Amino acid sequence: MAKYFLELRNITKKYGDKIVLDNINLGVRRGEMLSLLGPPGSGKTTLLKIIAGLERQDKGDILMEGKVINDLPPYQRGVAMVFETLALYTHMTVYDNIASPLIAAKLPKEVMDKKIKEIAKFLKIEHLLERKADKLSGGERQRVALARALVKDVALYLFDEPFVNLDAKIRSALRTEFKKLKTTLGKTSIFATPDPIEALALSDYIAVLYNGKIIQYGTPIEIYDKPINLWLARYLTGNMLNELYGRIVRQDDGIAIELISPIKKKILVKDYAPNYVDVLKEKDIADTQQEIVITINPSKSTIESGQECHGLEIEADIIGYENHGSELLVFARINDTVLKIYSSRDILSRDIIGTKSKICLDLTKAVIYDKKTGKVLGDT
Amino acid sequence: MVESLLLYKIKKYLRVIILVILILAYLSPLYWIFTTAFKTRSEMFANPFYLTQVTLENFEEAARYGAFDAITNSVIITVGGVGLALVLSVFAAYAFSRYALRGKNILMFYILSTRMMPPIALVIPIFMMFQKFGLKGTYAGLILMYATISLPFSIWMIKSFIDDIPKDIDQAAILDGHSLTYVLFKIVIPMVLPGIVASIVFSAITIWNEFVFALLLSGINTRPTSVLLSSIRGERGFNWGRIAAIEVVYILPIIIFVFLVQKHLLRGLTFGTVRR
Amino acid sequence: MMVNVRLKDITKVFGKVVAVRNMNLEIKDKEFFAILGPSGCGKTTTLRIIAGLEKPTKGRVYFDNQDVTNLPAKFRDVAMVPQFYALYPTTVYNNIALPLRSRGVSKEEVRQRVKEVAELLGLTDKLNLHIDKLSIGDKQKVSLARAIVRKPKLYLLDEPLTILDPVTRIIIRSELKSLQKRIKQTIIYVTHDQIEAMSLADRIAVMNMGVIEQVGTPYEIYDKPSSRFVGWFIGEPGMNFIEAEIDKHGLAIKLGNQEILRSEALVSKLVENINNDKVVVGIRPEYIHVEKSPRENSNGYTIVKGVVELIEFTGTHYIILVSINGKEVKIKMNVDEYRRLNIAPKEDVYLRIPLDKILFFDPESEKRIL
Repeated sequence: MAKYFLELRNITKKYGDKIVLDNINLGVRRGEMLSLLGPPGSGKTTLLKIIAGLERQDKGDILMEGKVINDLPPYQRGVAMVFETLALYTHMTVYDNIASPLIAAKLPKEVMDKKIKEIAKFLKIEHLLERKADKLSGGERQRVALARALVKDVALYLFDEPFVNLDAKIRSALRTEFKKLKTTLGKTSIFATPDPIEALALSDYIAVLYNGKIIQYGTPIEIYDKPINLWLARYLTGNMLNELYGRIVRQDDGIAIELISPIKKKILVKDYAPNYVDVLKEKDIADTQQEIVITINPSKSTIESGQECHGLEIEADIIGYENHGSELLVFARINDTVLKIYSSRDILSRDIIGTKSKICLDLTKAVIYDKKTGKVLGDT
Repeated sequence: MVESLLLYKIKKYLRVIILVILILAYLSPLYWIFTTAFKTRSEMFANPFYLTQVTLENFEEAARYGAFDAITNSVIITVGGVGLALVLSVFAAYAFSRYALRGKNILMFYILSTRMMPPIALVIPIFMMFQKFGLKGTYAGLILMYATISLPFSIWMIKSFIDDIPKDIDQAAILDGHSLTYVLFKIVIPMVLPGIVASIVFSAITIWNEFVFALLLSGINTRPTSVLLSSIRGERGFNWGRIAAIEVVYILPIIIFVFLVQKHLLRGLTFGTVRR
Repeated sequence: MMVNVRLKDITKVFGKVVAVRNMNLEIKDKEFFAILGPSGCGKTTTLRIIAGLEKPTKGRVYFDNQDVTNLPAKFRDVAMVPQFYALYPTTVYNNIALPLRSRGVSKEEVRQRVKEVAELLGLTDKLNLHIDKLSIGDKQKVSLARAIVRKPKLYLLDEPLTILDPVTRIIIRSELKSLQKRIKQTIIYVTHDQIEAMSLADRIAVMNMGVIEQVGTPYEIYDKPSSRFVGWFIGEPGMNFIEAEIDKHGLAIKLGNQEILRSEALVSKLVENINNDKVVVGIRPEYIHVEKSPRENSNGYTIVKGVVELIEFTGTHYIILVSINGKEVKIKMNVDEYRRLNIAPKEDVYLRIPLDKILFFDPESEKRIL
């Protein structure tokens, strides 16, 4: 048995002059759920369609179970797909939509009927079977598209941003159901999404696509804890990252960081982020006075907790907050920078909005990037 | 506020009144034709708005004049022309919408441009071609001509509708395992039905009413109603009753047809204007 | 200028669909009021009725106790900012000036007011730019500016931030809030994003299927939802709901064979309000603590045993799905705690739930009892 169920080797695709996919190499293990995470236009849909055989790559090979399938027509690849636009046949009933692949396979009517009723029951859409597909709500259409894909008993399922057009609430509810489904079915699936939370919550592995290239591949935790570049770090946190700018300098008593923004302060690395001492000690980093960006996740900082601050303390104006119910995401401004910190709701009772507060940033949890290249310092 | 509430209300009602007047004015010729068709000779030039005696003698006269054959010819030519245009334009529209063909834009523009030419400019060359190929006076010739005239608009309209359907739907069907024929006939066509109906209606109205090419290319046996009506001038002036009767029979089918398909037509007319 | 908006018995029917059903609502002067609900709940229709763009099938609309139900939109002096900005293809200045010019305001005054508003929204250095050259965030700001410059009595915003990317959305959101405090006008804000409503509004009306389920401040709604829908809709993930049994003899609430709590006072209160023996227990995901070993029922808490079904990592938290006797609950846990506990699927866990955070709902009416 091949190591990977699906393998992509050097896949390249161009539309005119634009390179949509640039030398993609990827392996998906049997039973795995892989996410393709990336902003719109990064090539996710194209990659899925190439895997399905609906589009053809310009260069490179696709292998399934070790065999090259480049020339195999879509229908024979054993693939089912849920499209971003859902692609439901709006003039047909839900029943006929789900029946479509079975009709093409020329299954006998009783067998078809049984399978359709089974999957409808599973996805809780039995009551919709006789309804026309254009008279459904967003969440219902999603389920019908899912049913049409799942009714096919194939080995590989492809999902192209299936939740993107739904309300936030319904999306998170469907996400949990989807994960349950995946665990029950145990099939290999690839899931394309621009939503980092979806990718993190659902996948075994994530491949981050940017401008047609895979810039990072790993488990959700690997990717979240150490994003490979600044762009990805910002993307994963929905641009809620705290960023400090500074320069590395070598001093007699050790490596230090000369902070430039949002405050000016010189700090010794061994005091604030001892885990970075070895990384920064490397000769070329310290000597070139490299400019760096220190990124801290909002969940790794606190506001005036009354406890002593073991990290970097910054005084800033509390300008507003986002209310998540169980906690607040507080925005604090200092000079031109806005810091974001998660905090419990009791700070509201202290009436601190509009006042200056002390923010404590835990630098041991920071991830440091080279300012010029945007690349993370240290290995991933 | 610059204008008062009263002024606003006055303006609103005034608009409605003017609209009603305009509609009445617009419909009055039709009304005249219908009443005239049922009027007796004596009442013909009396009050134009009503009649006291209803008669069918005008219709009998029209039939003797050859109206029945003319209407039949109109029907044959229109149905034939619309049908042929439909078949060709559906396939062409699908191809233009879904496939990247070299020179596609040029070809599309060329097809559309044939519509931009004034028909009268083509009259002589077409006439000569028809003579040469023995098509003059035949149904086939007229049907071919009208199908050609209808194609540009049909292709353009149906293509726009197909463009609005995401290619994903075709691909989903192919991935399901269906053949291209199934995709076209069972999935795409049903979804663009409003566009198809709209193009049928426009083609039908155009062909049904067309005069210039009909006059030139039809023969005694194949001439449609538009040609018949033009030859109706008698020695002693116009027989209005007979004319009106022919016109009633001429107009009625189209009105009924459009009335029946109006639901689909509205969707076809407003396509692409609002997207949510 | 101030306005207090009151809707009395408003019903709106479109063909066979009842979009808004018997609505009574009062929005106070200078309030930042949000109408929150899922797509299709009738919130936009409600907004349009307030604006005068829709006529209610039944009911009256009052502005400061004046009946405006039959008053056409342009006479109500309200400004509406739609979801998809509708700007004219000209400069920012002209776009903002237009509503004033069409009302015959003098050139001098137009210039002054446009300047004021541009400053308010940070558009001063963009006034001479053509709107084509603006980012979506700035375009939305121009849309807002056009509304503000008219100095209307009332602002109606229809999900104005949904089309913005997350960064711009946060920025404009905070600017909106401070803006409202500065211009001191009543703002009615329609959205399906509960975080947005919770963050911006003084009070929120939660709508579902044409009906208002609850009106209150963000924390009133969060802590004391009046119905299952509100409890579920607010908060991410929403409140957990578990069907439990009332044991009238033992005076306890039970989940299968596990006892959640025992209290005569509580049980008798519940029995007064519910018809049969079942009650729906509501508890928010963040209040449940997960422990690996059982503990004695400490004061103020109850301990329930369950099995881990699923773990979702969202970056900032872990959401654990636990099954208790076949019923599922979600638990929200921060990353450090999860890593400390090291839970895995199919493991047995013990959930420690604070009693004072447990709410009780009637299974039939789905309304909260306690």
